[in-house]
Amino acid sequence: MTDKKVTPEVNETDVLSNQTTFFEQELLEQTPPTMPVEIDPDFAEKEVARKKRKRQLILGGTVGVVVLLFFVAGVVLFMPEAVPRLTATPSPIPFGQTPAETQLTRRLNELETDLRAADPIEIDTPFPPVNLTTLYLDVPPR
Amino acid sequence: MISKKVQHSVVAVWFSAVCFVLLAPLHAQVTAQTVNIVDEGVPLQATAAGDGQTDASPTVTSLPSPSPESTELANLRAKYRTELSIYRTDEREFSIAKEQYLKLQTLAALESSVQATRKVMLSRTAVLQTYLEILRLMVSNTSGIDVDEKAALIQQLGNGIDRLKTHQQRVEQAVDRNLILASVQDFNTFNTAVVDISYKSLSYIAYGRLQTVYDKTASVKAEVLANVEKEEQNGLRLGEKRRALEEIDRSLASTKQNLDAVRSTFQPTQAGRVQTFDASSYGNTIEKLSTVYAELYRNLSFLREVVSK
Repeated sequence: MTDKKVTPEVNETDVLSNQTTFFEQELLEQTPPTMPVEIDPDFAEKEVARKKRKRQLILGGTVGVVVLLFFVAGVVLFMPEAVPRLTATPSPIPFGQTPAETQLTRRLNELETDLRAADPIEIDTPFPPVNLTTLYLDVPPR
Repeated sequence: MISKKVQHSVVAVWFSAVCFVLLAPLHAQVTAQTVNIVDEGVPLQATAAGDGQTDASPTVTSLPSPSPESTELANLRAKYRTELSIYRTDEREFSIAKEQYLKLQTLAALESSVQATRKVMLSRTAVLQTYLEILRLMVSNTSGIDVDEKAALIQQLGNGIDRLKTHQQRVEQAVDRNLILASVQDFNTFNTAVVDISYKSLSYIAYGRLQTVYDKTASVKAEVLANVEKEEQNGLRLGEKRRALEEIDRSLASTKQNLDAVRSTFQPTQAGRVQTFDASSYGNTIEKLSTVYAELYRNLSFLREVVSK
C-alpha cells in the first residue's frame, strides 16, 4: 500500500466534453491565486503627512478668510461716509409766494432772531455783585 | 484629526463669511443711495449761490450777528462764574472774621481778619479784572459801534484791567493791618473809574446791537422795495405797497434819530463835560433803547405785511 495519492490524468477533450462540470470550476476551499502587491514601507507616514497637510490647508484657509473678513469689515466700517451737505432743509414755498418772496421771508425771520438777541432789557453781563465800598477792616480816612 | 470644536469654529467662520459677502453690498448700496440723494439734490435755497435774489443783495448776510458768542468769550464767562463764587465764599469768611475781631479784640482775631480782608480783596480784584476782559471782548465783537469810539473804549477797558493788576500786586504784598489799609485806599482811588467804564461799555454794547439790527432792517427794506418793483404786476397793489414802504421809510428815519440821540449821550457835552456812566445813567439809556427796540419790531412787522400781501 502506498500513501501516494494518484491523480488521474486530465484530458482536455474530456474536460470540454464533460457537461456536469463548469469550465472554471474550483474547489471550495481552494484559495484563488493572488497577484503579488507592492507594499510601500512609508505608506503610513505619507498618509499621516497628507492628512496633516489637508488640516493645515483648511486651517490656513479659515485664518485667511477671517483676516479678509476683518479687512473688508474695516474698510466698510471706517470708510469715510458721505458728508451730509443738507444742513438746512429747504422750507416748502408757502402757497401763493414766489421764491423771491420766500427768500425775503427767510431774511425777515433772521432779522427777527437778531432783533430778539439785541433786546436791551435782557442784560447778559450785569455789573458784578461785589462790595466796592465797605470791604475793609479799618475805615479808610477820607 | 481636527477636533469637533475646531470644526464648529471653521463652519461658523465660513458661514459668517458667506453672510458678510451677501450683506456687504446692501450696506454699500445704502451708502451709495445717501450720496446720490446729496448729488441729485435740488438747489437748496438756503445755500444756493446761484439764486439771483441771494446775489442781488449780499449785504444782509455779510453783516455780522449783533451779539456773537465766541469760544474765548464762553471761557471768560466760565472763569468769571468761578471767580465770583470764590469771592462770595471769601466775603462771607471776611464778614465772620471782622465780626469776631470787633467782638473779641484779640491779636489772633486781628491776624485772622487781616488775612480774610486780604483774601477777599484779591478775589474781588480777580472778578473785576475778568469782567472787564469780558466787556472788552464783547465791545470788540459788537459791530454797530463807530470804529474810533470802539477803539477808545477798548483802550479805556485795557487801562482799567492794567490798573486792577497793579492793585492786585499791591494787595498780594499787604501782610499787615497798615498795608491792608493802604490797599483799601488805593482801591478807592479808581473803583469809580471801573464802574464808569463798565456801564459805558454796557451802554455801547446795547446801542451797537440795535444799530446793527437797524442797518440790517434798512438793507432788507431795500430788498423788499426792489422785489416789489420787479415782481408786482398789479398796478393798484404796486401803489399800495409803495405807500407802505414810504411809511416804513419814515418810521426807520425816526428810529435812526432815536438811535443817534442815544449815541449823543455817550459823547462829551458841547461845554466839554465828560459824561459819567453808572447804574442810573445806564437805566436811562436802556429805557431809550427799549423805544428803539419797539420801533424796530414794528418796522419788521410792516415789512412782513408788505412781503405777505
